[in-house]
Amino acid sequence: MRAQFLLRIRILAVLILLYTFFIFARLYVLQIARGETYREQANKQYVHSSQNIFDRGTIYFTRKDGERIAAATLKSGYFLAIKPNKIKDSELVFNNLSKYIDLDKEDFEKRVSKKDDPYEEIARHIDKETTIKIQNEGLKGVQLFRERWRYYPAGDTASHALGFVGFGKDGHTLTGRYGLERYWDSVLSREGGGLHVNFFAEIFGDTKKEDNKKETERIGDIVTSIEPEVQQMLDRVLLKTEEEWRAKHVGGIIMNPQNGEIYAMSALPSFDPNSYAEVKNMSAFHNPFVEYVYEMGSIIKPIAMAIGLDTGAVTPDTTYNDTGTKIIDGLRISNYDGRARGVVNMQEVLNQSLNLGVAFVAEKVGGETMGKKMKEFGFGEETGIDLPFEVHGLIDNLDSPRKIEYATASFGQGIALTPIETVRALSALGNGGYLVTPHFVTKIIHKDGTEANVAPDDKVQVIKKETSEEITRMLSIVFDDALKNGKVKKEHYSICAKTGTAQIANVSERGYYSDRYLHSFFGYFPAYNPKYIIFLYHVEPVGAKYASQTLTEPFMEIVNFLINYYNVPPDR
Amino acid sequence: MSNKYTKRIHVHAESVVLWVELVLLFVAFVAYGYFIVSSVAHVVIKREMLISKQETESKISKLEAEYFEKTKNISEDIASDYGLVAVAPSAYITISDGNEKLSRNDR
Repeated sequence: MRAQFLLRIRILAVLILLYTFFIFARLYVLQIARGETYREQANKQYVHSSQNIFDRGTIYFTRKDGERIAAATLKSGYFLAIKPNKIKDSELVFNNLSKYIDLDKEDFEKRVSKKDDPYEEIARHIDKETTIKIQNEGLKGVQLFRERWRYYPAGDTASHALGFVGFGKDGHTLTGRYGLERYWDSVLSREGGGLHVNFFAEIFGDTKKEDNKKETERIGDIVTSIEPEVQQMLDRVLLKTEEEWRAKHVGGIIMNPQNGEIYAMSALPSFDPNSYAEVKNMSAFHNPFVEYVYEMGSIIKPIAMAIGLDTGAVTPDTTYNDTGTKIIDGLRISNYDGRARGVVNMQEVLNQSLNLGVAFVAEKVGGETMGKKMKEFGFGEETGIDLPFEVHGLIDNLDSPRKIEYATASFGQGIALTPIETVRALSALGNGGYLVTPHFVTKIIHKDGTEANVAPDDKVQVIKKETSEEITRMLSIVFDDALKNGKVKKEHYSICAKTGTAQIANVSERGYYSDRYLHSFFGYFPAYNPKYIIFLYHVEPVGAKYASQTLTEPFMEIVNFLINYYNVPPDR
Repeated sequence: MSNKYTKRIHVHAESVVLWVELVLLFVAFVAYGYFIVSSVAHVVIKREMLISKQETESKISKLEAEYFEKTKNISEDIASDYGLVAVAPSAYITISDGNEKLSRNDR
């Protein structure tokens, strides 16, 4: 009796266990093993769903009031594909589809004719309303798939900074190719398309979650310091400058010299990241601020002068006899016009941009010290900006035993720097003598809503605070008295500025072109507590020889905009 | 003196265990059905929410694109059409600390 009872109990227990096992096995098959297939079948009742629909973090601009506006986001819609072997009357299908989307008939017929091909893509980025209309046509052999794609609402605004997303080396994975999209790819990219994984799927399938925890914690959206209004204004100013002077390349940057936050960065020729595939010249994707080096010319003079002041080699009142030309190591250097000025002081060296004046400073400082101090300004090293492909300046001449190399380096020839390297060095003149790290991204917004500050805070002092104040005073005099003979002086605002006109090296032959120049211009304000440093340049402008002719007006337009936009109070 | 008596009660343990197991089996059936239904509902709702979220994001990006397009076209001519005029140049004065009688808004 008892044995029979125990047998029944055991049989029932085994049945329950078997049933439980069956349930879990069935769930596994339904949701893991064949989950995607069933999902596809279910979705076919309405429209088809792409596997691994694209997902990616957002990049934000930050307005002056702190409001965030998406600079790179995702747009959803549908793409249309056909099954050629299911289409009997291609003319009818074409006519029906053409009512809603633009199609090339020849191309459509070509695709329909591929009867062995089970799938031919016809059109992408179709909006929902159009999709519903096509759906209602009930065309056999026509399929609609949900899709998402990277979208840049501001079009070509800040395109060199943002970069874009494209297919990676494997040819089918979307990844950041240029700009912030590439540099911050590990934060922005989402593995598996971000699709929902349900409870049971998590139990069975997400065993690697713990391993990926650190990576998951890192992902999120990124917030940049780019101010959209300022960026658009800079774009407009540069476009106007390009139209007027027809230069090969034009670039401009507006940065906070105190902390390296970049408000705007623009370069021409530009591109629209929404349609990057249509760009014929791939070099348009390069960011000249970090990827190209130029001999910057006279805007380097304030740095040489600051080194002279900092080392005590000269003071603003130090004088020298300017002879217009000078032979050093058997080579002749001259002022831009070859004219002698006689006995002049250091302020006049900056006011009149005298090459011989800064060569005098370099001589007084000594070649070795000048080279060492220029390197301390970050010449020849990467700035650490959060952009990919950054190169460093070419400064071999700063290791030369010849005096001539230091003389030419002091007026920005013979050494080539990236624009961003130059801006960082020039920022130190006004911010109390610190090298800051230029950057765009200030915060990461994680998926759980928490925010992490990621702005670098690694200031390095390269000149004394007093030197910074002294060179600032000298540069404000340059702006007030020398630039356009004082015509652009602003009564209530102290502004520092310096122009640069550099000869362009002839790569095929030694020496420089006699008729090709790089014009550069930098300035910062309010002079004694600068919030904005502006750097502009253009390569081979046509119709003017000097930067003061071509870039003063754009500079002033930017300054006036910033004063109004940010309500900058007067400082004098 | 109290009357003590004992009553023999026959408990059908086998029957109780059998019923418990049958109930458990029934609960397992119901639970299976419940979990399947709730799992499907969960997936469907979550997917609908995801699609709705994506569509909202898409609408926002469209609005942002319109915003950028409009701000690009802002010009002094358009401002004049709306009857806007240039702000007169600001006049600035210096006031000492504590002098609250002077307005700092000098436009």
